Amino acid sequence: MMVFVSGTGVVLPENVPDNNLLLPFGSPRRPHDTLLNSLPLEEKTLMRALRRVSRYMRLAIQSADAARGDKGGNGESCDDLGVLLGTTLGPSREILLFEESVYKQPQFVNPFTFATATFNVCAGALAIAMGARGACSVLTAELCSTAYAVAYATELLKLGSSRAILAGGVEELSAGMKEYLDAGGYDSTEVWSEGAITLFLEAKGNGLREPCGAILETASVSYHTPKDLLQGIKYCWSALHSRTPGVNNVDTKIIVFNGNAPISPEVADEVVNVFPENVLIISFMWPGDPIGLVGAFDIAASFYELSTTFRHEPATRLVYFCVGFHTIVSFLLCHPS
Amino acid sequence: MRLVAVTGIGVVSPMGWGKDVFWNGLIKGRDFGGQVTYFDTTRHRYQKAAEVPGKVGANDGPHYSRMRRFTEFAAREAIEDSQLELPISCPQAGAVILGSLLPNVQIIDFLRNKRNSGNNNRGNSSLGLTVASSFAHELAREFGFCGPCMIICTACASSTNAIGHAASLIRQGRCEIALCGGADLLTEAIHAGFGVLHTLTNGPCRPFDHTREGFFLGEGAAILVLEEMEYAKSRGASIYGFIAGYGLSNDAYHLSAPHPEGEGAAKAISAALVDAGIRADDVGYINAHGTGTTLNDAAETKAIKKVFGEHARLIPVSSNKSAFGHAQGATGAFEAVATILSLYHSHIPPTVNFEHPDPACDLDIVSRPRNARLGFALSNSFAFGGANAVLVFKAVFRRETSDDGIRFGNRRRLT
Repeated sequence: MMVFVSGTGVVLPENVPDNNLLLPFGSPRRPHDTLLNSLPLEEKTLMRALRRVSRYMRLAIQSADAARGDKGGNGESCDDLGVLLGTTLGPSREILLFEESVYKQPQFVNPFTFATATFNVCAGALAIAMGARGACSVLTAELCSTAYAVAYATELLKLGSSRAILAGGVEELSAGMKEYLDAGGYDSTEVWSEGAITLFLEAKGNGLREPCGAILETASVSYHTPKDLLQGIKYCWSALHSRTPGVNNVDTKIIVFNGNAPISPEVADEVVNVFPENVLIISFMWPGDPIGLVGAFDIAASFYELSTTFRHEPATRLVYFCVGFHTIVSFLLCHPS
Repeated sequence: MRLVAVTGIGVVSPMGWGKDVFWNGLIKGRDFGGQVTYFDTTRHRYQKAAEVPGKVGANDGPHYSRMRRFTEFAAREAIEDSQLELPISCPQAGAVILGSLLPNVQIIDFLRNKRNSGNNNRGNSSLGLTVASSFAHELAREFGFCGPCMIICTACASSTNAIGHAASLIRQGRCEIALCGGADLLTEAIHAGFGVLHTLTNGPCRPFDHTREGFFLGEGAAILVLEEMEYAKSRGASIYGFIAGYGLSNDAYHLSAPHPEGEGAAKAISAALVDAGIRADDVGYINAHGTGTTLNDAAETKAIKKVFGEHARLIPVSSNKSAFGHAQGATGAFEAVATILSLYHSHIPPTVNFEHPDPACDLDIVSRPRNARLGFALSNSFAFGGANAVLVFKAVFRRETSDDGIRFGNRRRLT
């Protein structure tokens, strides 16, 4: 069974509307009514209350809004619309602000600060903005956070638990979080990136717009040693094809690897030997290191690759490996036709 | 369809270290809350919480090491309880899915250390320990599990979500074994956060009671070993019960308050029943989210009535939060353990401190330990951000004759 990706919304560093009140889709002045219902009703406090929508939440809402716009259609019931997001850093700015306020005056912490410091506030805000009442979850799995989110969403759609799911993730940087990452042993010259991505996943296309891609199968493992890494990739490669009826591994012409996890040259050589000859192995580069966003970014880019470079070979299959420090999430992707 | 069996349980809770002390504490019907000792509460409005006793104290190490100790103990106990032989034959068949409200507790250590010592030294330089999902990966490394590994962070529904997801992975053939559950710590930050929301109380927690005022926080870890039924049978495993269904939904209403009519919660309960393939009147017990707050208990009552109709008043309902507190992200795992042990022992633990029935919560609230033959039971978890997660558990029993007649609810070694 295929899961279709009907829309994609991406927020990259150059188009984050910093210092602006980002409102959910709709008029430029008023937010979606359901979000409004969750805020104080008095008009005079509205604008102040809107500022409570943190940057972390705004990134999620903007990318989901863009994905829904990309998909097309409007006025559909959202009762079965799910939200599944992944994040590695979480609401970094809010966590640091909240902890500092607790240290200074624990009795007078702003309640909004606490609510906005939880990892799943992005999904909650997105659900309110979209009126999405289906499955809702946020997970973290280091560099594979959004990849896992998309995989989890795919499984839920195959089970029939939801009709459609907004899957992706958010990463938000802050000065304090960079300090924390640098202290953790990361290269201090590393250029971190932030943003958000949402893929609109559906169990079947609704005919409004041709889906940009389809997910045939997913497989995920974790690893603890370089040998485990090699075994993991072999396992994923085999599982993706054996779980998909009618698909042979020789049908896979492209392999996409993300470029974030450190893989030694020796291991890389052995990894390449896992795959058939004449397969194209590529890797996408993004502005800065998008941390957990890389998985969903690469999936979106893979579909773009299939629909452009390989548009004359619609039967082409692509396998994507998102390799994190301890985790591998893989997908078997194809053109929706 | 592949069945998911619970073959091992491990718990670290305010009752103590171990599954048996947890269950015995629940049955006794005691309130395990007390004065907070981990941090200075003189600047806080609320001073009550349920702390894990002994072994780990406030100064025994940073938050992360406490989190690790909780999860390691609980996981070891669960593995030993399941009698699983390690390493497993196919490492990729073993998943680790945990839940936590504050998965990146290391950052609290970093900020505290920076404040105290004025430098940025985190005390370790391991890249892997920086990320939020570290303690799940460390558990996977320790037991040689190389399957899916992640932490789910949907606030108070985290570990319910984690257990449900692990069960789904097994049902879909993505893995054969899963270590799942949740862990969370009592931290000053979270204590202050719930305090300013006025959801805490310095008195007793009284779920569904007319005089309820809120809850107190707890902490700990609870881990379950889930196995595919045939896999468990092939090694002669003993089982506690089954995970039969799992339902998710979102209120899409408010970031920190539940929908007043329990719409989203009712949707999650219905979804779980549909997933389990059972009718509403098949449910014999509901382990409620039951935080003891005015809003939650009333909304949950409405949700239960929406789904079960007239049958709602016949189903025993209890909340365990009045015993071990609200363990944040781990609370779902604690309640899952309580529910599966209720099925196993045919015994429902009481709702501690329930004395004055509330007309708005007119359900069969269990106030004293009660024997009951249970076939199916629910465990509800409703969280910040409107996230709702519900699990359906199924009892395992085999009729056997003895001098006393037919016995139910005995853990049987499968052959």
